[in-house]
Amino acid sequence: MSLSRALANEIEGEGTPLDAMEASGGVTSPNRRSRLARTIGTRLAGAWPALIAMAVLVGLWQLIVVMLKVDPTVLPSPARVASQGWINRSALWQNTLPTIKETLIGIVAALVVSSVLSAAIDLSKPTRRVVYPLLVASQSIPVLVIAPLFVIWFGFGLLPKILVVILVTFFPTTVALLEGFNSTEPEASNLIRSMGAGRFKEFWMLRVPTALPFFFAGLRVAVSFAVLAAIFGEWVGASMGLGVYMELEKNALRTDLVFAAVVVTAALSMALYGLTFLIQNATMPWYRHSRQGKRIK
Amino acid sequence: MKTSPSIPSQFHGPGASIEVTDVSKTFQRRGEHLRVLDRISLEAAAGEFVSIIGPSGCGKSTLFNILAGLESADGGKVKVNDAVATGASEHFAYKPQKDLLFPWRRVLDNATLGLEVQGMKKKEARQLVEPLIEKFGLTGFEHCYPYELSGGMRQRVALLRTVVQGRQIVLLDEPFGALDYLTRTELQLWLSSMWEQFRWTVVLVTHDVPEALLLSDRVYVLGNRPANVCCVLDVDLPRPRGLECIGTPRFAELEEVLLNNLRDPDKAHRFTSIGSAQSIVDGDVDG
Ligand SMILES: Nc1ncnc2c1ncn2[C@@H]1O[C@H](COP(=O)(O)OP(=O)(O)OP(=O)(O)O)[C@@H](O)[C@H]1O
Ligand SMILES: [Mg+2]
Repeated sequence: MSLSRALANEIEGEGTPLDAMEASGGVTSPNRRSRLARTIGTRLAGAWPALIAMAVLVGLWQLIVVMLKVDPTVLPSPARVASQGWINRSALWQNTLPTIKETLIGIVAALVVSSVLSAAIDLSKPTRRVVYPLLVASQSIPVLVIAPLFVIWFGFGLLPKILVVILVTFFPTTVALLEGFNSTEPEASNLIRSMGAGRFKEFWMLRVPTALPFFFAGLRVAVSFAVLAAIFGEWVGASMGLGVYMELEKNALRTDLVFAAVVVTAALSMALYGLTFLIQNATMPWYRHSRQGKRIK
Repeated sequence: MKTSPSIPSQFHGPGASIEVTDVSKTFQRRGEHLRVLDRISLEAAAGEFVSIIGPSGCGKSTLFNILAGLESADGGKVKVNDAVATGASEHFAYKPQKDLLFPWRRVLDNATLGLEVQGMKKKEARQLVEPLIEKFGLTGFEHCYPYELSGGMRQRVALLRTVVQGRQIVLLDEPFGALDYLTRTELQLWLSSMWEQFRWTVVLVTHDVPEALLLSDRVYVLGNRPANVCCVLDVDLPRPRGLECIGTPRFAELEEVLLNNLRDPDKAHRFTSIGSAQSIVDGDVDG
């Protein structure tokens, strides 16, 4: 018994790598809150150079437009883009909503498609042989050609845009999931099989969690295309949406409002991108922490 | 000694007996034949602790894979409790060489993995495993993720995950191979005391001669590939064995026999069979 007590003492003395991390960083507050604050702090500190560079660019742009008295239909000043965008905010917002809708529905549908496809491919070899080539072939279809066809087949509603989003985004997530499943250690598969797991239990309890980090990498590639895909779908034929709005304002020579719509598009893309990190941290708390430990060491 | 009535009886031994007879294995690699196991035979009675020791790459892990049903043998028989069990994994709790903790599972959930795979509810499995946490020196770490653990603790979690499966025979493949000397010795002593309490049937693979002596009732020495059992040594050191056991002359003698057999397995095969390995040592003691 004394042995186990001695062991317990020894263990308590060891502490966790995180504690060691705190100590080596010379930071005395050990609570989780301050750690989180520090993480956010470093993130923001990391963003400063980019923000400054952007401010300088916008400033230069403003300066040049004002000094050279550029025609606003050719190149509006940032101030004009902001003020006109604000004045037309309700029209902008009404056209942003359908775009958000198409993008989100499209991504979710693409996730369903890629989960089903990648699971089927991973679980059965014959499926792999039949489906994989088709998958790759689907990516060689030019969106420029297929998007107008979708409009001819399915009309001007949401469906053709959602289809364009799916077509563009399901591939990166499918490939990422497949890579992720395959990155499972063979020894870990052996272990769980020796416990009596069949193929499905192995898939669900081992291969899926192993694939998660890969999946999120793929998802980030996918969402960075998704908004553009939705806008392209609208541009080809729709009654509402940022794509339509840009087209109309361009024809009306309201270049400032086209720019305003571009800003909204960029904001949407960035928000989606950030969202993937939020979801990732919520679903894989172990991953973020273990990565942090590694980085600081 | 404190008794813990809360520890479920299914974790107690004495498991089952195992008898391996003439198991052979040849790997096919790009048309080449790699003969790894050459008619291996060994046995362990119920509640016995036996070790397998042999040079690297001689096929020890392969033998375990065969026992755990992950690899098929080319020939030979495995009997558990005198019933043929070749390729039947349900008798064995297997701890592979790496700890293979799942990084997304907390300590407690890693420990219950086997039970969950067998279809037990998570909550039920946790309740079953919790009483063992203290014995495994993991108190206070139940809800940590594996990355927060030291190497020694990881191995203890992996061992916990192995023994709670309630299987009849425990297969341990170099459980302490990757640890530093101090941690390794501590864990060896700890495992020894655990085994004395629980009396599982254990087959242990190791490279570490003192570890084999400290823990086992019997040691099987394997020769170079294709591996055959070249020496069997009964370890008659008194139990319970603590650190002081390592300093005894008897320990040193047995250690020398094992080292000699390991260094020159071919010669050992010629000169020392099961009986004579013991009789040489016995003779030394008497004289
Ligand atoms: N699936 C396989 N296919 C082909 N060869 C294999 C396979 N598994 C193992 N081997 C070969 O069999 C031999 C024995 O391997 P094994 O892992 O059993 O050795 P070991 O005794 O456990 O070694 P160590 O002590 O280093 O762990 C090695 O030469 C290895 O290359
Ligand atoms: Mg091995």
